[in-house]
Amino acid sequence: MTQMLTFREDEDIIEKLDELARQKMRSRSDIVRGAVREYVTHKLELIEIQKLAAKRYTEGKLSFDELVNILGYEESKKVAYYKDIAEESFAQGLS
Amino acid sequence: MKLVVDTSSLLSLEFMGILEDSFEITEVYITNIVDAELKEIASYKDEKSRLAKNVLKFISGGKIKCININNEAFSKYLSRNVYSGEASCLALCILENISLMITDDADAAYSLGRIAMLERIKIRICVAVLMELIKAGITTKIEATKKMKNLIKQRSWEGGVLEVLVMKYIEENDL
Repeated sequence: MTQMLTFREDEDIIEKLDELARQKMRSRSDIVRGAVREYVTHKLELIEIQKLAAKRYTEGKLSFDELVNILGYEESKKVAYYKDIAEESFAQGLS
Repeated sequence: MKLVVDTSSLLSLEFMGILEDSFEITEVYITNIVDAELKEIASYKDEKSRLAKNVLKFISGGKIKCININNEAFSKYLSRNVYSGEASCLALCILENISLMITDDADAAYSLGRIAMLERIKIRICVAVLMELIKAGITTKIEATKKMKNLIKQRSWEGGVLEVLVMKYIEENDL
Protein backbone atom coordinates (compact mmCIF):
# COMPACT_ATOMS: atom_id res chain seq x y z
CA MET A 1 0.00 0.00 0.00
CA THR A 2 1.29 3.47 -0.78
CA GLN A 3 0.47 6.85 0.69
CA MET A 4 0.79 10.27 -0.86
CA LEU A 5 3.35 12.63 0.58
CA THR A 6 3.46 16.31 -0.26
CA PHE A 7 6.08 18.83 0.72
CA ARG A 8 7.40 22.25 -0.23
CA GLU A 9 10.95 22.93 -1.37
CA ASP A 10 12.91 25.96 -2.53
CA GLU A 11 12.76 26.76 -6.24
CA ASP A 12 16.48 26.26 -6.84
CA ILE A 13 16.33 22.71 -5.45
CA ILE A 14 13.26 21.94 -7.58
CA GLU A 15 15.17 23.21 -10.64
CA LYS A 16 18.08 20.88 -9.77
CA LEU A 17 15.62 18.03 -9.20
CA ASP A 18 14.11 18.61 -12.65
CA GLU A 19 17.57 18.74 -14.22
CA LEU A 20 18.46 15.40 -12.59
CA ALA A 21 15.13 13.89 -13.66
CA ARG A 22 15.78 15.05 -17.24
CA GLN A 23 19.30 13.60 -17.29
CA LYS A 24 18.18 10.28 -15.80
CA MET A 25 15.04 10.23 -17.97
CA ARG A 26 12.94 9.71 -14.86
CA SER A 27 10.01 11.56 -13.39
CA ARG A 28 10.36 14.04 -10.54
CA SER A 29 8.50 11.57 -8.29
CA ASP A 30 10.86 8.69 -9.17
CA ILE A 31 13.90 10.73 -8.18
CA VAL A 32 12.36 11.94 -4.91
CA ARG A 33 11.06 8.44 -4.06
CA GLY A 34 14.50 6.90 -4.67
CA ALA A 35 16.23 9.59 -2.62
CA VAL A 36 13.82 9.24 0.31
CA ARG A 37 14.09 5.41 0.31
CA GLU A 38 17.89 5.50 0.20
CA TYR A 39 18.13 8.18 2.90
CA VAL A 40 15.65 6.58 5.30
CA THR A 41 17.16 3.08 5.01
CA HIS A 42 20.72 4.34 5.35
CA LYS A 43 19.86 6.66 8.24
CA LEU A 44 18.09 3.96 10.26
CA GLU A 45 21.01 1.56 9.79
CA LEU A 46 23.42 4.29 10.81
CA ILE A 47 21.41 5.14 13.93
CA GLU A 48 21.54 1.52 15.13
CA ILE A 49 25.32 1.41 14.70
CA GLN A 50 25.70 4.85 16.26
CA LYS A 51 23.52 3.89 19.23
CA LEU A 52 25.57 0.80 20.01
CA ALA A 53 28.87 2.63 19.53
CA ALA A 54 27.68 5.54 21.71
CA LYS A 55 26.66 3.07 24.42
CA ARG A 56 30.03 1.27 24.35
CA TYR A 57 31.90 4.58 24.39
CA THR A 58 29.88 5.85 27.39
CA GLU A 59 30.53 2.56 29.18
CA GLY A 60 34.26 3.09 28.58
CA LYS A 61 34.49 -0.04 26.46
CA LEU A 62 35.46 1.92 23.35
CA SER A 63 38.15 4.59 23.20
CA PHE A 64 37.60 7.82 21.25
CA ASP A 65 40.00 6.59 18.55
CA GLU A 66 38.02 3.37 18.20
CA LEU A 67 34.83 5.41 18.02
CA VAL A 68 36.38 7.46 15.21
CA ASN A 69 37.19 4.26 13.31
CA ILE A 70 33.54 3.25 13.50
CA LEU A 71 31.67 6.54 13.06
CA GLY A 72 34.20 8.94 11.58
CA TYR A 73 35.68 12.00 13.29
CA GLU A 74 32.75 14.43 13.11
CA GLU A 75 30.11 11.98 14.31
CA SER A 76 32.43 10.81 17.10
CA LYS A 77 32.99 14.39 18.25
CA LYS A 78 29.21 14.78 18.35
CA VAL A 79 28.77 11.62 20.44
CA ALA A 80 31.56 12.69 22.80
CA TYR A 81 30.05 16.16 23.20
CA TYR A 82 26.59 14.74 23.87
CA LYS A 83 28.05 12.34 26.46
CA ASP A 84 29.70 15.32 28.19
CA ILE A 85 26.57 17.45 28.37
CA ALA A 86 24.47 14.47 29.42
CA GLU A 87 26.93 13.66 32.23
CA GLU A 88 26.91 17.32 33.31
CA SER A 89 23.11 17.28 33.28
CA PHE A 90 23.04 14.26 35.56
CA ALA A 91 25.75 15.51 37.89
CA GLN A 92 24.97 19.22 38.10
CA GLY A 93 21.33 19.60 37.10
CA LEU A 94 20.84 23.25 36.19
CA SER A 95 23.72 24.53 38.36
CA MET B 1 16.41 30.55 37.46
CA LYS B 2 15.85 31.39 33.77
CA LEU B 3 16.09 28.78 31.04
CA VAL B 4 15.74 28.92 27.29
CA VAL B 5 14.26 25.66 26.07
CA ASP B 6 14.08 24.44 22.49
CA THR B 7 11.32 22.40 20.85
CA SER B 8 12.98 18.99 21.34
CA SER B 9 13.38 19.55 25.08
CA LEU B 10 9.92 21.04 25.60
CA LEU B 11 8.45 17.91 24.06
CA SER B 12 10.77 15.66 26.11
CA LEU B 13 9.86 17.48 29.35
CA GLU B 14 6.16 17.19 28.56
CA PHE B 15 6.64 13.54 27.57
CA MET B 16 8.14 12.86 31.01
CA GLY B 17 5.26 14.78 32.60
CA ILE B 18 7.54 17.31 34.30
CA LEU B 19 7.13 20.46 32.22
CA GLU B 20 4.46 21.89 34.53
CA ASP B 21 6.52 20.95 37.61
CA SER B 22 9.51 22.78 36.16
CA PHE B 23 7.65 26.12 36.42
CA GLU B 24 7.94 25.81 40.21
CA ILE B 25 11.73 26.07 40.05
CA THR B 26 12.46 27.85 36.77
CA GLU B 27 11.27 30.54 34.38
CA VAL B 28 11.00 28.96 30.96
CA TYR B 29 11.62 31.11 27.88
CA ILE B 30 11.15 30.24 24.23
CA THR B 31 11.35 32.12 20.94
CA ASN B 32 8.64 32.83 18.39
CA ILE B 33 10.45 30.34 16.12
CA VAL B 34 10.04 27.55 18.68
CA ASP B 35 6.40 28.58 19.09
CA ALA B 36 5.92 28.23 15.31
CA GLU B 37 7.63 24.81 15.32
CA LEU B 38 5.30 23.64 18.09
CA LYS B 39 2.26 24.86 16.15
CA GLU B 40 3.42 22.93 13.09
CA ILE B 41 3.98 19.74 15.13
CA ALA B 42 0.58 20.21 16.78
CA SER B 43 -1.05 20.15 13.35
CA TYR B 44 0.11 16.55 12.69
CA LYS B 45 -1.75 13.50 13.93
CA ASP B 46 0.69 11.64 16.15
CA GLU B 47 1.95 11.38 19.74
CA LYS B 48 4.17 14.43 19.35
CA SER B 49 1.16 16.44 18.24
CA ARG B 50 -0.57 15.77 21.57
CA LEU B 51 2.56 16.82 23.46
CA ALA B 52 2.95 19.96 21.36
CA LYS B 53 -0.68 20.94 22.00
CA ASN B 54 -0.09 20.62 25.75
CA VAL B 55 3.03 22.79 25.53
CA LEU B 56 1.13 25.41 23.52
CA LYS B 57 -1.45 25.63 26.32
CA PHE B 58 1.35 26.58 28.73
CA ILE B 59 2.50 29.27 26.31
CA SER B 60 -0.98 30.74 25.83
CA GLY B 61 -1.50 30.55 29.59
CA GLY B 62 1.65 32.59 30.17
CA LYS B 63 3.52 29.84 32.03
CA ILE B 64 6.12 29.83 29.27
CA LYS B 65 7.33 33.21 28.09
CA CYS B 66 7.68 33.65 24.35
CA ILE B 67 10.10 36.31 23.07
CA ASN B 68 10.24 37.47 19.45
CA ILE B 69 13.62 37.13 17.78
CA ASN B 70 14.50 38.65 14.39
CA ASN B 71 16.01 36.46 11.70
CA GLU B 72 19.12 38.68 11.66
CA ALA B 73 19.79 37.82 15.30
CA PHE B 74 20.14 34.09 14.72
CA SER B 75 20.80 33.49 11.00
CA LYS B 76 24.57 33.49 11.62
CA TYR B 77 24.17 30.36 13.78
CA LEU B 78 22.29 28.38 11.15
CA SER B 79 24.09 25.44 9.56
CA ARG B 80 23.53 21.95 8.18
CA ASN B 81 22.91 20.71 11.72
CA VAL B 82 21.36 23.77 13.30
CA TYR B 83 17.84 24.80 12.35
CA SER B 84 16.08 28.06 13.14
CA GLY B 85 14.59 26.82 16.44
CA GLU B 86 17.88 26.03 18.18
CA ALA B 87 19.70 28.95 16.56
CA SER B 88 17.02 31.36 17.81
CA CYS B 89 17.28 29.87 21.32
CA LEU B 90 21.01 30.57 21.45
CA ALA B 91 20.41 34.10 20.17
CA LEU B 92 17.79 34.62 22.91
CA CYS B 93 20.24 33.43 25.57
CA ILE B 94 22.78 35.98 24.33
CA LEU B 95 20.31 38.87 23.95
CA GLU B 96 18.61 38.32 27.31
CA ASN B 97 21.72 37.27 29.26
CA ILE B 98 20.29 33.86 30.08
CA SER B 99 23.07 31.42 30.86
CA LEU B 100 21.23 28.10 30.43
CA MET B 101 19.95 26.57 27.25
CA ILE B 102 18.19 23.22 27.22
CA THR B 103 18.27 21.21 24.02
CA ASP B 104 17.97 17.50 23.38
CA ASP B 105 19.02 17.87 19.77
CA ALA B 106 22.53 16.38 19.78
CA ASP B 107 23.40 17.75 16.32
CA ALA B 108 22.48 21.30 17.27
CA ALA B 109 24.07 21.07 20.71
CA TYR B 110 27.37 19.99 19.20
CA SER B 111 27.32 22.61 16.47
CA LEU B 112 26.44 25.43 18.87
CA GLY B 113 28.73 24.20 21.63
CA ARG B 114 31.71 26.43 20.86
CA ILE B 115 29.70 29.64 20.55
CA ALA B 116 27.80 28.76 23.71
CA MET B 117 31.09 28.25 25.55
CA LEU B 118 32.41 31.59 24.27
CA GLU B 119 29.25 33.32 25.47
CA ARG B 120 29.38 31.43 28.81
CA ILE B 121 26.09 29.71 28.12
CA LYS B 122 25.70 26.22 29.54
CA ILE B 123 24.02 23.67 27.31
CA ARG B 124 22.14 20.92 29.14
CA ILE B 125 19.67 18.21 28.19
CA CYS B 126 16.19 17.80 29.71
CA VAL B 127 17.53 15.38 32.35
CA ALA B 128 19.07 18.41 34.09
CA VAL B 129 15.56 19.71 34.86
CA LEU B 130 14.62 16.33 36.29
CA MET B 131 17.70 16.37 38.53
CA GLU B 132 16.75 19.84 39.74
CA LEU B 133 13.23 18.66 40.57
CA ILE B 134 14.74 15.89 42.70
CA LYS B 135 16.90 18.45 44.53
CA ALA B 136 13.78 20.55 45.17
CA GLY B 137 11.91 17.52 46.50
CA ILE B 138 9.27 17.78 43.78
CA THR B 139 9.98 14.30 42.46
CA THR B 140 11.79 11.26 43.83
CA LYS B 141 14.86 9.51 42.44
CA ILE B 142 12.80 6.38 41.78
CA GLU B 143 10.12 8.32 39.89
CA ALA B 144 12.81 10.16 37.96
CA THR B 145 14.45 6.89 36.98
CA LYS B 146 11.15 5.56 35.58
CA LYS B 147 10.68 8.75 33.57
CA MET B 148 14.22 8.54 32.19
CA LYS B 149 13.78 4.91 31.18
CA ASN B 150 10.67 5.87 29.21
CA LEU B 151 12.54 8.74 27.61
CA ILE B 152 15.35 6.46 26.43
CA LYS B 153 12.89 4.48 24.32
CA GLN B 154 11.94 7.66 22.47
CA ARG B 155 15.47 8.72 21.61
CA SER B 156 17.63 8.01 18.60
CA TRP B 157 21.32 7.08 19.14
CA GLU B 158 21.36 9.40 22.16
CA GLY B 159 19.38 6.66 23.92
CA GLY B 160 22.58 4.57 23.98
CA VAL B 161 24.36 7.24 26.03
CA LEU B 162 21.37 7.83 28.33
CA GLU B 163 20.90 4.11 28.95
CA VAL B 164 24.40 3.84 30.40
CA LEU B 165 24.08 7.03 32.46
CA VAL B 166 20.70 5.98 33.89
CA MET B 167 22.14 2.60 34.93
CA LYS B 168 25.07 4.40 36.55
CA TYR B 169 22.63 6.72 38.35
CA ILE B 170 20.64 3.72 39.64
CA GLU B 171 23.82 2.03 40.91
CA GLU B 172 25.23 5.17 42.52
CA ASN B 173 21.97 5.92 44.30
CA ASP B 174 21.29 2.33 45.29
CA LEU B 175 17.81 2.39 43.68
